[in-house]
Amino acid sequence: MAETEIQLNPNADSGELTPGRSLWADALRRLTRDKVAMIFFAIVMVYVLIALVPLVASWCGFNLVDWWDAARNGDFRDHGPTLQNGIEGILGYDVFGRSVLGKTILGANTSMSVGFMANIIAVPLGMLLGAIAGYYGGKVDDFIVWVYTTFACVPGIILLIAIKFAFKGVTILGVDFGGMPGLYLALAVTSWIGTCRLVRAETMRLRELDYVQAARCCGRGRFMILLKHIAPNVMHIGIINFSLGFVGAIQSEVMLSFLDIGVPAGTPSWGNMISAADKDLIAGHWWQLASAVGAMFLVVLAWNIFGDRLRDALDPKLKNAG
Amino acid sequence: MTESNDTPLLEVRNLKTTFGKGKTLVKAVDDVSFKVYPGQTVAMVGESGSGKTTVGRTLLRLIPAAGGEVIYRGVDLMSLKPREMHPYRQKMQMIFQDPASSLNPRMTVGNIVAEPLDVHLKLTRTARRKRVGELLEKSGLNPTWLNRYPHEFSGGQRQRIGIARALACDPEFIVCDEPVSALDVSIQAQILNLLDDLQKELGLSYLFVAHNLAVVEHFSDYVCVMNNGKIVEHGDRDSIYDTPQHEYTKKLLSAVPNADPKHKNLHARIK
Repeated sequence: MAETEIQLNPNADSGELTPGRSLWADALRRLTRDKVAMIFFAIVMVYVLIALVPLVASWCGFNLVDWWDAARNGDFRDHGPTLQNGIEGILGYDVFGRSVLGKTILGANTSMSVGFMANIIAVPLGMLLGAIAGYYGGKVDDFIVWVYTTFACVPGIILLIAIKFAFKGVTILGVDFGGMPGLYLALAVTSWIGTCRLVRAETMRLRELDYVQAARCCGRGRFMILLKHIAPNVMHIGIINFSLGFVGAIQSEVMLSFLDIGVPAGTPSWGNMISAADKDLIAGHWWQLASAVGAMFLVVLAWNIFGDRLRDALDPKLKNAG
Repeated sequence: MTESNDTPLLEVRNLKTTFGKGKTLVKAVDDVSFKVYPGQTVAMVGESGSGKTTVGRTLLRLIPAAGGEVIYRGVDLMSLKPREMHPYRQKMQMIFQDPASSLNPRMTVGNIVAEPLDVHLKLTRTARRKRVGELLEKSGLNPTWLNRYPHEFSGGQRQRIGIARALACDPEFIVCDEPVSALDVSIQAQILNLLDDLQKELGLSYLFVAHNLAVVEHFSDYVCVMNNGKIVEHGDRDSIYDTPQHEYTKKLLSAVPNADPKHKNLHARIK
């Protein structure tokens, strides 16, 4: 390339030294200017708000699940979508005559929290262990590889069931691990391995690159190299795995609910709605399954597109694209 | 080039670097010794895989040494603990071969150049910014480009960023690991001139690793010829180029292509 060819943005050369902008500040600036990213982020936020409604109501002493459960309409048992009762019946009724729309909205709380919480534990755990294993190498690497290989040897569902049973009745620091926290942890424990493997491999590649050697040469410590040079360059793996893991966690929740060890029975969740489909579909009652799958589809789609845009925003090479 | 003093700035004695163990043991650097005087450029030449880059990386302790000493201003760097090595890192820097992979793609030029400053000098934000501007200017770049990312620059400009980073903490000794081999010829001359000017201005000492003997001839004071991890011949630039003694040096010199096609058979190629 010729020396003279780089006047990419002549407006930037005002002659003044402007303060540097960090990678995150720059990504945020580009993300907020990206309309598609903002639309799908808004969809995710609507889901988050819907998921938070039962929680806020319970803080105010109002149990939305009990209220929805009590508001049964005996005449509309297993009734398909109808406009006779206004918005309540728009997605139909379940076997007890309860609104499926209400169930879907209340289910968002459980499913979103399972998707988010399991990944908020699993993805950083996988990234941290993968980066440490890949960067330090030697015995540290051997130990981490041994740990994840051991976990990977056990079929996921068996491990999930075993952990769920092990947590039954366990309360630590006032947290009942027999309930939802135990489910988050069990899902996290079984889903960090993929992220860890990918991050480890990428870190091993990155640590040999000259910019990491340059940082070592100027006296940067190992931890700071991990933080400043490795972490930003493996972040895209975390973002992609979070998107994929979100769906995976909801799938696992469905599986556990089907086996009756997931979300406590009676709690509205998309998993419970899908697991009820085995009886419903035979009778031709499709609306409960369709509502749960539709709700899941939209949030996963929104999260995936937003995740893609976030990954692009964090890649300075795409700064001038689009 | 600047006048050499009597006391070497850096003295390498019997340096050894090995990779692997047992039957797969490779002696990448085997009993290498040389001296670098203040303001001097020592060139390390040889074919690919001869161990010249490994010498540079080992003496900066980026690769562990299997033996030998590296005496810098009277202190054996190989005997220091990592923490004790810290102040010496400020004075010994490196310029890398591939300008694309030597700059973090997710850091702005300003942050890349300021990294040694952040580690060693802890300047205020304003002083840091001012210093980065000075360094970019000294390396022939526009100081207002500090918010740009490496991919926005050409190969030669990226190498200038690498040079600015190496100069950040006023080093005395720089390992130039084939700094021009990834650049096209016109840019090579610019970078070599820049390195030469900086040496004159700042009194730097270089260990110049290269496989291009034509580049070395114009740039070095002293030449070490490496083959299979050993220095097979060393001496002043003129003596190496005019009266090479070792068979391998003669082979290397005979392999230098002649720019003039009329005289292409002037020196027979030794195979």
